[in-house]
Amino acid sequence: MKIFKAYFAGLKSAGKSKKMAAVIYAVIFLLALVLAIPFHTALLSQTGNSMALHALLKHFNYTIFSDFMNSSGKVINIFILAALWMGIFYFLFTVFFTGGILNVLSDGNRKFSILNFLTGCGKYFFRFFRLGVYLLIIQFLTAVIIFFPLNKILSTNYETTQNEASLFYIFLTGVIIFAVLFILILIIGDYAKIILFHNDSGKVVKTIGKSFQFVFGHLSGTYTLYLLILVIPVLLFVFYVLLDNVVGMISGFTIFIMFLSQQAFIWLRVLIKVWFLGSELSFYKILNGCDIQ
Amino acid sequence: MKPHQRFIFALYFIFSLYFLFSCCGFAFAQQLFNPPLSDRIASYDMSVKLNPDKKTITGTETLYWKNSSTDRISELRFHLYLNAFKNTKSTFIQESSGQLRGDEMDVSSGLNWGWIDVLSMKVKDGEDLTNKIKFIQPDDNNKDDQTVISVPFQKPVLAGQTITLKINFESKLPKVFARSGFSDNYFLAGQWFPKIGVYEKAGERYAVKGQWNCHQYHANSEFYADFGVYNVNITIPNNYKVGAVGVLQNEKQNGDGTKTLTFHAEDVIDFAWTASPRFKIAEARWKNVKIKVLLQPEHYAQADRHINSVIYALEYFDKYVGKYPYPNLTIVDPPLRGSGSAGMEYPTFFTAGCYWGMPSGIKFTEVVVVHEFGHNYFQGMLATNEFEEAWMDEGFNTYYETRIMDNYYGKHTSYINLFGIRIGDGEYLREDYTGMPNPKIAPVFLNSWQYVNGGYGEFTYSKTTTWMNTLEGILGQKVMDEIMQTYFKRWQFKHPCGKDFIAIVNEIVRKEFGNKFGEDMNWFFDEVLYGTNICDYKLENITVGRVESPKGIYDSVSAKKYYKLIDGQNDKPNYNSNVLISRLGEVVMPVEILVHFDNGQEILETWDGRDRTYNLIYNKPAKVVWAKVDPYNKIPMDVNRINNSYTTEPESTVINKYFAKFLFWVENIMLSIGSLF
Repeated sequence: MKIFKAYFAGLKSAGKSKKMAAVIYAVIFLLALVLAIPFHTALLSQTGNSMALHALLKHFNYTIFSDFMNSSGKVINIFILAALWMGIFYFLFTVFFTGGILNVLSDGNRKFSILNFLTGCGKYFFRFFRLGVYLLIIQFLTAVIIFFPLNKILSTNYETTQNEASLFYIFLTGVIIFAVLFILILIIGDYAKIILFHNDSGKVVKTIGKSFQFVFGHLSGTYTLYLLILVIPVLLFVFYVLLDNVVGMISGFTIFIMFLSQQAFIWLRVLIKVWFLGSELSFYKILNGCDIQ
Repeated sequence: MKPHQRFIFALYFIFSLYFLFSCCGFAFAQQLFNPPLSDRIASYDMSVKLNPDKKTITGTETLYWKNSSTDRISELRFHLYLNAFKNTKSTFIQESSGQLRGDEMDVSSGLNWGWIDVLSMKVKDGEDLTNKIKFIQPDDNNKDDQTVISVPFQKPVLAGQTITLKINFESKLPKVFARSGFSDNYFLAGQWFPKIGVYEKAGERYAVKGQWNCHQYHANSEFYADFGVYNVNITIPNNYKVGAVGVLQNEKQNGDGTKTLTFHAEDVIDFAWTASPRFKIAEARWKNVKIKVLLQPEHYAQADRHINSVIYALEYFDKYVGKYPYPNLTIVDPPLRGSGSAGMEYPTFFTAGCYWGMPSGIKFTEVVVVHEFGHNYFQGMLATNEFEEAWMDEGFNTYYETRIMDNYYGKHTSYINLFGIRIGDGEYLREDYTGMPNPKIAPVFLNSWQYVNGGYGEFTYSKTTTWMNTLEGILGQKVMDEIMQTYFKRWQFKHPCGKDFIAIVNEIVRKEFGNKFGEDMNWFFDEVLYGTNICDYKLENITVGRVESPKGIYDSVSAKKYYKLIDGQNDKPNYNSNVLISRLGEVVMPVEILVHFDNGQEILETWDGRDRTYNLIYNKPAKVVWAKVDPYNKIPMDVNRINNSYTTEPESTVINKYFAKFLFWVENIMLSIGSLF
């Protein structure tokens, strides 16, 4: 029951945080536009007055795509690389926004105030930044710890098995183990944020330890809660793929419709992030005997 | 003769007749083709035994070799292909660095090396040649390469005579990484026995005088051999399932845990076989061709993919090239760790390749099956020299692979059709050539081992496929089919070379088109086969200007003409449209240009493509809106199709689509990286 109470409390919090999500979404949108507008210009200049790209309107056309990449691939690759750098850059924004989100969520009944949001962002940035670095290191180490034994098991099995199905299942097992551990680290990270925020503490390493204790102390609850919310973005993604298949991007009108859908999808992703933190904050409070609103 | 004597005689006569017919019947059962389909220069009777633990094949070989030239021949040359895997100094390993098609030679165990020893060689009832055998290196003088032997002998083989040799040999199969070898208890015996080279008589292919054509085994080369009849007894443990070139004629138990299988093949250029206790067998039939698929058990669910695609290939070749004459066909599916032997062709027998759980949207298995089956024609029956003219088998065969795949699985989906990613087999192969960092690095016409800086696969398979598709685009499929059918009919069971094929192209094109494409089509082959240039036409620009009606008063001797009268007569607008096309590449091709006007009218122009630029000028009441060079994609050789069109009214719909998608991708990347916190 506590899980569901927290689950719906988070949903309620997310419902109240539409404006905050809109602010975060606007930042994401503007940052993405920084790349997307020059990308648009580059596409126009690279294709000039050619009609060839029209073949890509209804379906993917490998001949046109490959010829385009052969002639303009260097330009496009710059944008792909820039998008990755933008993602890394946005990591700092995520760290920055987290304090603001928690600040807003903790004042559940107050009307959204950008000042309140930004105050939280600024106040917790550096401690969350340190937490972020530690979490990345833990995630990296987990990946390494999984990768090397998995690689060893796979290569050993490759030398003995006559059936690639067994290799696939070994690989799949490795991926599942990694996913389980990776989610666990994300959960520990989320509760570490909440504990840091809740206790207004600056001791990041100690807080990770506390979070570790808390999560393992309530492993089924924290994990189940996380998975229950994780189902939503997965379903959302499936819905988006289906919508894309049904609507397609084959005319000015459908491109516009899908553009709106895509942006709604991004906004919902932000809102789900709020949902995660809201539910976890509620769960933490419930288990610690605090009132939740 | 007394009655009882008559009775005994009649009985004896009937019994004799029965015996005679029985024997004849056995002989007829053995005979597949009467008259023979080929001149049967090199025929082999072999009895061999596989030792699955030592990975060796030991046996005897009786070779019947006919001197089809007018020369007196006192030297024979043989391929000992397996010696390519004997040590790291062989030409094959030196050239390949121990890697082929993504597979790497495993040198961690002494069991993994491969070799072949000729234990003895003797002319039947004559000279012992064993001590006369010497290794030669006709291609690169690499003294460590032992893949070719020369065997001189005293009594020359005269024109038309046949020499019979008795050879004892032992072959050690390598751990498979390049076509042939073992992987656990899977064996693929290819190029596994002492195999005589081809003596090219004067006038055959490029030979100006009689000469041996017997090349070393190279990383980038396959094979070349004469046609013949093979009778092969294979002794193997009872639990093994065996597939081989030709038809299985007999199987007997030896009582010692082994069995002996007898295979018979006629008018083929090679003999290969496979054995494994794990094979699960699927069978089918197409017309009179019995199809057998030897599958790994975990791949059995994909038996239909093999069978359906090979039936498509059989049907297509039968309809568009010529008849498949053999009574059977065996497809081998190697195990994962034997995948180095996958995708290899032998007459009536080939290895495919598939993976467990491979989605049906990835047509990898179908492509390999169709391709390897096609080699029954290109090299199997049209026995070109793969060492010297690999494009004639790999290229021609891949051209048919694309035709078959595109025909049965869709032009844009025949290679991959998964999650919205659509790639056609022909598209993929074209890009393999046009996407090369340097498509001018070598010509197609090159000995296969001379692609020292890469490009063997791209030129022999992909560029040849692309220019064959271009030739089809220029001539039309009907004429192309006539060319290929003539080529097949005229050269099947012989050794054609490039100039023989070009002669047929010239003959058919002249017959069908006269001088439309010039005196001959040599210009085409000079560019695509012997040359290295690229083809790139560009629709450079379209300019449109309004032609003002003349105004004012113009005198003539007897009258004045008034223009621009007040009532607006002669005021209908006229436009001067100029369409400029450029030839950016050096290759010259005749091209079509489709010009579209704003009133919906379309004009299809033709240009010989020779000049560097070409102007189309129209003075009409309608404006040119867009134009396309090669609008029907007849010239896939054109390396850049993006610049083949031009519109005066550029439309941004597609750009907007990719703008939206890119924006969405960037946002998702940001959120996904952000979600690590």
